[in-house]
Amino acid sequence: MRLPEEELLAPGHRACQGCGEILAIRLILKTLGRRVIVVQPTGCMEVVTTPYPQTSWRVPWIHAAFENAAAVASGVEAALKRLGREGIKVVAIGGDGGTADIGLQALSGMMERGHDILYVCTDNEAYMNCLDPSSLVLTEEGLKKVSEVRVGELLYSFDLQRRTLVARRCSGVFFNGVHDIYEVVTPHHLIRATPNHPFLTLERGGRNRLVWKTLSQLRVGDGVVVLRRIPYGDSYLFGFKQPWAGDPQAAHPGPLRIPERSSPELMKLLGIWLGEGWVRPKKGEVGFALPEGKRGRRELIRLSQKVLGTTPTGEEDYLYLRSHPLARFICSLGLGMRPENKTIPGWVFTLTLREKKALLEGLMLTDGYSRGGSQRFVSTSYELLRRLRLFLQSLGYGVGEIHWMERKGEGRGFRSEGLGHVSFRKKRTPDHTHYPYVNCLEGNEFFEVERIIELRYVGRNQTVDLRVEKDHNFIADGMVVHNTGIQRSGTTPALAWTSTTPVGRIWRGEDKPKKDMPAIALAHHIPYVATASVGYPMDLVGKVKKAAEVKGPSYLHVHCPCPPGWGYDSSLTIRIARLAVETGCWILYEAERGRIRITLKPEKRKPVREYLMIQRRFSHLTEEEVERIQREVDARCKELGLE
Amino acid sequence: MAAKLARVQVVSAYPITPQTPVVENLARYVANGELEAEFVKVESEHSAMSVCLGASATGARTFTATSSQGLMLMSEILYVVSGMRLPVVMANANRSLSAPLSIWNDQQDSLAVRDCGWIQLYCENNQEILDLLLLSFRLAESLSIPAMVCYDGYILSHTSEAVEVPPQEEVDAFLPPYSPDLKLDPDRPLTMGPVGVPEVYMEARYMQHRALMEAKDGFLKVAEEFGRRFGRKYGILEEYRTEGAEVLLLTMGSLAGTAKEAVDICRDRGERVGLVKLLLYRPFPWEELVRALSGAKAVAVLEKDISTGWMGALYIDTAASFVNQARKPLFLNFIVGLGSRDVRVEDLEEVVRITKKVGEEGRVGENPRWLGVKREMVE
Amino acid sequence: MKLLRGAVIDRPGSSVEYLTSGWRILRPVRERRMAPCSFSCPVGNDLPEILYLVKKGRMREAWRVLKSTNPFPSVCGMVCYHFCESVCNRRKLDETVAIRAVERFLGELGRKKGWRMEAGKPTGKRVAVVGGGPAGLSCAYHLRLLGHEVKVFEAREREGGMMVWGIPEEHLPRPVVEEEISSLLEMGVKVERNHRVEGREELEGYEALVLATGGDPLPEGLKVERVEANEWGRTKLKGVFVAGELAGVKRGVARAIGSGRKVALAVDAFMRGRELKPPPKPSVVGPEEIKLDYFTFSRGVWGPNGPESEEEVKAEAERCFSCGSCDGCDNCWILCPEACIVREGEREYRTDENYCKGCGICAMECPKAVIRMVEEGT
Repeated sequence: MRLPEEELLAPGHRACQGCGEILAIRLILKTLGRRVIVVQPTGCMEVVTTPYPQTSWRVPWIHAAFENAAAVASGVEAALKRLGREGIKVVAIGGDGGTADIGLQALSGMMERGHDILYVCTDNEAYMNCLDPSSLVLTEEGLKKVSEVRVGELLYSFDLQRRTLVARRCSGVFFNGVHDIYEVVTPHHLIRATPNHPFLTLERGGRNRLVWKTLSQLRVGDGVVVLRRIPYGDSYLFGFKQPWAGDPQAAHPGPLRIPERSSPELMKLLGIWLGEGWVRPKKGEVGFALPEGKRGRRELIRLSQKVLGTTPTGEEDYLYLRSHPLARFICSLGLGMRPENKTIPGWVFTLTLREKKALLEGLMLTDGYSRGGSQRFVSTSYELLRRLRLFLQSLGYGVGEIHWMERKGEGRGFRSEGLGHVSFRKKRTPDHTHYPYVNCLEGNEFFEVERIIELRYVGRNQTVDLRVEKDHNFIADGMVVHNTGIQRSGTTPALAWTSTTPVGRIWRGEDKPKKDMPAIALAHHIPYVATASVGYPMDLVGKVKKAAEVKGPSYLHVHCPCPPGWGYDSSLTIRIARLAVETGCWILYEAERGRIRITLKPEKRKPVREYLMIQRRFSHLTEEEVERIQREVDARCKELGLE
Repeated sequence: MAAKLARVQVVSAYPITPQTPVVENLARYVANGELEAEFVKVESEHSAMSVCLGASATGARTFTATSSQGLMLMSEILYVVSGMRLPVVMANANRSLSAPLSIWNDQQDSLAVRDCGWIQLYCENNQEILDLLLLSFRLAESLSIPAMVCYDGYILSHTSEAVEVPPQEEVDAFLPPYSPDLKLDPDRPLTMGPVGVPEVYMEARYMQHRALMEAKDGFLKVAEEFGRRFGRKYGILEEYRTEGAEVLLLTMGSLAGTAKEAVDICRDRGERVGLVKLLLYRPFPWEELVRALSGAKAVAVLEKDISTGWMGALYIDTAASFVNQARKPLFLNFIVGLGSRDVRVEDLEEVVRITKKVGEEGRVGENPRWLGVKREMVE
Repeated sequence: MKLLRGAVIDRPGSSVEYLTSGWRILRPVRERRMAPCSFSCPVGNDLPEILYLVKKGRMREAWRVLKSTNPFPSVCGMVCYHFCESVCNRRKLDETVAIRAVERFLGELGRKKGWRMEAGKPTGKRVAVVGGGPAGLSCAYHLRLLGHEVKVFEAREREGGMMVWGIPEEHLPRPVVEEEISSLLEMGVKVERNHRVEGREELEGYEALVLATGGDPLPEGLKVERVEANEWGRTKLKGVFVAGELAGVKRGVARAIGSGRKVALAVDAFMRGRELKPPPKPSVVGPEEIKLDYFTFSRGVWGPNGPESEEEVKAEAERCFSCGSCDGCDNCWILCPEACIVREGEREYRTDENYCKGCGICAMECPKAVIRMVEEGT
């Protein structure tokens, strides 16, 4: 069956990318053809399709108010009848609010009176909030980009009761599509997030209550909770495969040991390398730009002998360690390869205090110097400066902003060629430059309050969010952010939702199942009632055709996923709609003269978790809640004869 | 009856005292085939007006009737109907507003919605109801503005009076079938009721306001033709024995009947008293009122409503007409008859006396004055 | 613009004035990709295309597409190792598509109906092919399609090589082979039987020479040095090419035919003075890219010999996923919320760039993995 070519809903409407509702309406109109009159209540669809003086509708269309679509449609139908204008179908298309809540009365009256009207309810729901994918999250494995966090990993979190640092499991990673992104800047931290992402802040006016505020509610001067330092860990065990005797790729002067674990000496050496070193793995060369007389040179020679068991070969300006295994080892550490792309990888953040300090010492031997009461480090790698900043903060230093200058050089294809520096100094406690008022986090070992110095719009970008157990927050770019959004359940079987309120009063709300609108329609004994989904367009089309031919009221309830409301990437609309049916969360049936018949039976019903866990709005659900939902879905399916 | 004569095509109403006889009669007409219309038995007044909206937008002549609480419930849609410029005609049996619950007459209900953009006409007697309704259909359809004809509940709805019913053919000649150029039709797909973006909202409201202001002239034209065809002349207001009056009474609705009696009695006594009865309330005919009232020393505005927290609506509107005039009488506002509190001729004679005194002394004193309030209950 | 009363909009579909193209940061790109079956076919048959045409009942066109790569469809249809079937993505759902049977059917149909391919426009160039086995004949066939004059020198009394001498008759009946070979002859491929070429001097006057003598040792006069790892049959001598087993291609009829075809293309390029550019590495559609939920579980129902009748073969062709190749399923067009995909032909769709918001639904829902999203501006 080929659908008619004609588009009765013109493009150029303002519906979101991947909107399920507008697709449903497009398909319904295609099926019904030109001889219709569409009645719509106030809602998403009405707003995106008729911004004066433009309209997407190529059929007659009328909108009156929010609650009276069915009544207006009744009037249209009565007039057509009286005027003898035959062959025109009246269709009312409303959202779930305009149908099930405020519009219920009018709908009931219309069905009771038996008007020849097709009523379609396009069903969708609510919220989400998220971060820029480059945000760095503090995990037990060290710093990671939020987009690289895996489910099951342990993240650092702020224990709201005890106000201390704890590790919590990540139970979900969500890619939420493209959104507007803003930056929140404090003296020592910077994070990018969407306007509705909640941050933990100090309540204004008081000094002892922490409350969650969305980015849009933040003002310059507000205090946000930031990480002061992280706990010190262990020396790191490298998983590097050691060279064996006779390894043809190992060419080196003298015996060379590749260390198995980190140590302060090794970290100092690496610090020097970070500042002035490079590696050429094919040549098997690890080099250092340390001319005679430079401070780091002697130190490097000493460390190299102690840690690696070998002496670097020297030239006037450079020192070399020629060894393929060593080169490969250095590459494997994730420190970068050339001056422009150096960085501090996540595992460094998990080291002991001594090791970390050693790295810093090594680094400062190269491009660092003291200036006034503080120290300064210079680099041509912006990323290195960024990571260094976080690294220093995790050691308890106060660090200023990165000063960076773009340089027009003979580009070798690097994105930002330039030069920059950061300044830092040991923090005094309490340090009121961050936040001028005494507050409840004074003296806290891991956290403190910093004031916001700037809020600005950055642009649009892909966004990511995480779900974390128990306290539902994690530390991104040094700030404590929440992982939740307020959710509303839809017309699917009892779905628990949760909402988090200011610290100390975390509760989990539960909702009864929302009204079963098709059942209400059935109770009016109308000739045709059906459910459908945009994920199964031909099933929807068939049902629209049947409903259109009914002489009397018909009711069609269409499941329409909503990317911003449900929290998923816009390309997944159809996938999610299909998953809803495949898991039994949405059942496709039709009832002619009250007799229910399932129109699409999934061969093997998938577990509801597959449907729930890819949507931001369900990211709060615990295992028990998911199981409860599974039981309820199972019960409902059994009721309808769907195993 | 008027609806039947006008050959309305879609009627939708929800019963509410004291409008019920209207609904019952219409149902009877349709059941007997005397009126070929769709009678939609809706589940609330809000839906009643919504049905009329949809039907009118599709090109049918529509009618409904309501009162008091029902009018309040549908008030949201009244604005939508007038904003969409649909010529729905409605009969409103004026009834008091809850709380406290009252099924009895006053004009609070229709005056509460005076801003909704509908033409408002007030009837003194049953003949006027019939005539003004017929007139309204013609007026509304020619201007694309909805119209409501208000008449006092119980006083006019539940009393009998002989009326002259014009013959069907005459009405047909006066009121041709409704055929709007803008309607819902697949052959010319229109989008009705779009989002009124800021760039256009003010213009839309301005156009609507201007059209309503111009309806005054429209009314005069239609009334003139009505007069020629059916012999009964209607104007924006009726001036009863106002020549040389020092004291004028201003009122709307059935109270005018009682007021005319009081005027007669006073004139017989030699007092120079007159009555101005206002038929067309919206659009507010300020020029006509200024002309009619300027000559008096003092005017008593009698009305069965109160804009709680200030004065009566008619008083406020009249006062606004005079605020920039050089020559104006003193105005007194009398709040009378709320909840069907009886207004007798004697009460009106008292009103005349008070007003006359004000005119002579040049001092207004207490304003508004509530007539008939039992002081001992409220002190 | 004048305001109509009630702010009525009398311009249906006027939202087209608002171009929503500025919303997107990704846009869809349609690209014909390589199906695993075609990728693994040594002959290089365009299987999705052939199966599509069979599905539509356009048998002659299907036959032509098949013959444009494979001169011996009946032969392969009977004895090829069906490399295609072992990588067919349909296996992940139920069962591989019986591609070989379709090929066989087409071969038989072609023979029955006497369909013929025409030689290309004459180029005036002449090529000599030494060895009348599948590789040599295939090479000759393809050269003829390209318009060149070809003469095949076969040492034995009849040509056919492995197809006649190597494969037992119960698998590959002689008449079938002869029929297919004769269609080549009708195209104008000249075959000289019982002519064993001893040296290159015998073949003066030919612009190019192809050696396809199979497993037999080459006469001294013909020995050449191969160029290392070259599937295009080039040798150190200009104008002399090797094909088939002689060129190091593994044994197998289909491989030989495929080799013959590739070499023909190389020869053709050489004779036109063009550099033969090896095609870029194709993007093969893996099974995980196919949205299995768009297909229903089905197993072919047929007799012991597989699908044979036209109905059976058509039904089997319906089961083809059409990996990487649009078959006009309309899915993208149906599911676009912006209604901005235009149907331009039976299997052609175009996204109206003025309105595409880059939501990615078309790419996600294309069951054939033809559409993918790329960054705007690339």
